[in-house]
Amino acid sequence: MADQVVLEESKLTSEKYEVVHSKSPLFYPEYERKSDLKHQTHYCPGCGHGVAHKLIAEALQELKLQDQTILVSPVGCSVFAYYYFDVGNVQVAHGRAPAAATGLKRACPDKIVIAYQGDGDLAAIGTAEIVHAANRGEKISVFFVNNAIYGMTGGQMAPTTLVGQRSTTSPWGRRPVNEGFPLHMAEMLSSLEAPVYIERVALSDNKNIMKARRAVRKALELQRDGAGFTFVEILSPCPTIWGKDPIEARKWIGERMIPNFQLNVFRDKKIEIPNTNVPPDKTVAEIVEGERKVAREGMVHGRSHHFQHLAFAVKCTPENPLGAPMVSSEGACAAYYHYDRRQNHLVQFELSGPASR
Amino acid sequence: MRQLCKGNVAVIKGAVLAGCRAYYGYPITPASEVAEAAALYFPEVGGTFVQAESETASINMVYGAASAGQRVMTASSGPGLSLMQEGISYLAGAELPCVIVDVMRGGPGLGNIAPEQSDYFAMVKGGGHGNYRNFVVAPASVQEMADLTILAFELADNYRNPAIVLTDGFVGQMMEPLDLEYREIVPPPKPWAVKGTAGTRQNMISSIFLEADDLEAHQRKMEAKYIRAQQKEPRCEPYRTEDAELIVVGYGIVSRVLRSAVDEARKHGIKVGLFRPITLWPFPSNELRKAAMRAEKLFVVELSNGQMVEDVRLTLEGKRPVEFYGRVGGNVPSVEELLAKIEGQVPAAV
Repeated sequence: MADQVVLEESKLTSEKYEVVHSKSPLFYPEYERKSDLKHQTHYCPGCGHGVAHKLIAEALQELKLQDQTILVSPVGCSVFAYYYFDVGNVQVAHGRAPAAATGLKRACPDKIVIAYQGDGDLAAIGTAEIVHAANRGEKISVFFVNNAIYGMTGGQMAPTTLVGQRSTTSPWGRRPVNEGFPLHMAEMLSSLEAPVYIERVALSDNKNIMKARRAVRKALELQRDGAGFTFVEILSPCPTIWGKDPIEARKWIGERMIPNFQLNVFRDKKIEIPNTNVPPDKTVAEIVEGERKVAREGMVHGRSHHFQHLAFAVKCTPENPLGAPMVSSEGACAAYYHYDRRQNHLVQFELSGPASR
Repeated sequence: MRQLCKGNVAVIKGAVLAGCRAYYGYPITPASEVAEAAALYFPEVGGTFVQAESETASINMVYGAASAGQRVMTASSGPGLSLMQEGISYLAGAELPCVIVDVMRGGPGLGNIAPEQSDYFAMVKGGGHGNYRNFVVAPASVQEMADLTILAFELADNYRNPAIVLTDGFVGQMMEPLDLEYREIVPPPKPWAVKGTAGTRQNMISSIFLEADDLEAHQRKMEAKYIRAQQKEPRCEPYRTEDAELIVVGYGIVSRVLRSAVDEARKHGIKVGLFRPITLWPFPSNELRKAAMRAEKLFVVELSNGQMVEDVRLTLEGKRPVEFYGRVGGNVPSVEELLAKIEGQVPAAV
């Protein structure tokens, strides 16, 4: 979409100046919103999602990845990310983005798969999914927007809510004796072997936003190059729920969140995962029709009987069957019917009884 | 090519033949062999096998792979399927095809690892939240474990909906001859999939429709699929029902025992036949009604406290008496037991 240049006039000095409104082509020209609001997102004024979306969109634009990108959107305020990002979009259940991203990336290994999640999505209900996707080294990029509260549902406590911070479900402030301590996801994931890049950044002021921009771009470059699992935790303002104006909210990140959630690069290294224990190549026909040697075994074709097997009643007994017991239609190992459990005494076999039909 | 095969393994052989190249699952008795066969065979033909951290993660990995247009599957048993129900609701709402195998075991709760047929309600009636249906096929033999899995992939793709292979610990564990020949199966194209390409950039996979009218329209669209399926897709196997006065109804392993019991009863002069549903959804109501109207009474046998019997009663709308016999906890009735029950159910007019 073309840049829009608007002439504005300063209210203080009456000087005229130009304001350039530009929007990344990664965003739709118009948004699917009610009535006249099609140029605005649904995010609150001062919300961190607006900035985070821009950083991701502009990185994808610079890296020319728009046509190769799939965005997985979560449950939370950013459930509607698909209204804005003009890329392939998949909306998933609460917390499950890393699992869905795993399925997507394994299906489209040379494409860019992004999981964009909030603190409830990633650090509460989705803790298992993010830890295991990271542990498997899934080659995805996860952008974790941490605003220390549940925004969309009206301000309940998040795993990342600070001690003493009020929320609708911690009305006297977070009490460690009842609610434990804030979860530090970047640190937690950095205890795993597979991730290649983990950084925590913040949208607290322009300097930090520039660092966030570089981190977002780096994560996507690494995915483009097939490096491995990348994770950027973005401390983000939620003015509406925090009860602050946008400027105070940004200040709060710097004053209260950053001392608790340190900004740092927790992992940045090239990891060569050795391709060991490689499976052999087989054809579909070989799988479907069974390996020839199995079909040739005499026992399966009835050319010999189970009691002729060397292990029968010696190593293979009803209490300790070797391998998968052959189950008859009555639900018992076929050999059992021929096995008298009296100690060391094998009864004469009836070869034409019902069990051998 | 004939081979001796375990039911659970036959599922995977059918899946590989059907072009399924992604398996995401978690072990659970008595279904683990499905995952183990997938772990062995899928990578050998260039497919993906990942043992997920839970069934919850599994079904969401399936959601991701299905969004990209892959033929993908998972397998579990009752407790795992309960964990997957949220994911199944999302798959149905987002109109994603996939195959899910439920090898039923004793329940509720942890239950035991012996066979039951007590997930009928959960799988056939819904189980997850919201208005949707699962396609459900019910194998009764190792051969059908392979063949009906292939059918499940077709139904899932043709209707853009999850398809369940509903079996039990018995059929899953038993070993029988399997006749499977290689043939080329090409899955249909999926222009709606999200593949990270310029051509699919405008596609979206989602189940959220905020406006009431939009969600209603979406559900009506799904409903239309289900109505079409109810006309085209029911499958069943009637056995000796043409002149039957009593019709026994059963699926899965129960149908195998019933079949033998019917043959025994016929030797004693009892005019009994077996009606075996092969699809549990869409339920073969028309065929059941036709068979039932020729007879006087129906007798439903399940490894449950009475789940499928409700659909039999719904189908017949009170026009014929329907009796029920159930064993649970992993107990599977013998031919003798069911023969005695059949003799006790014979209509008095005989």
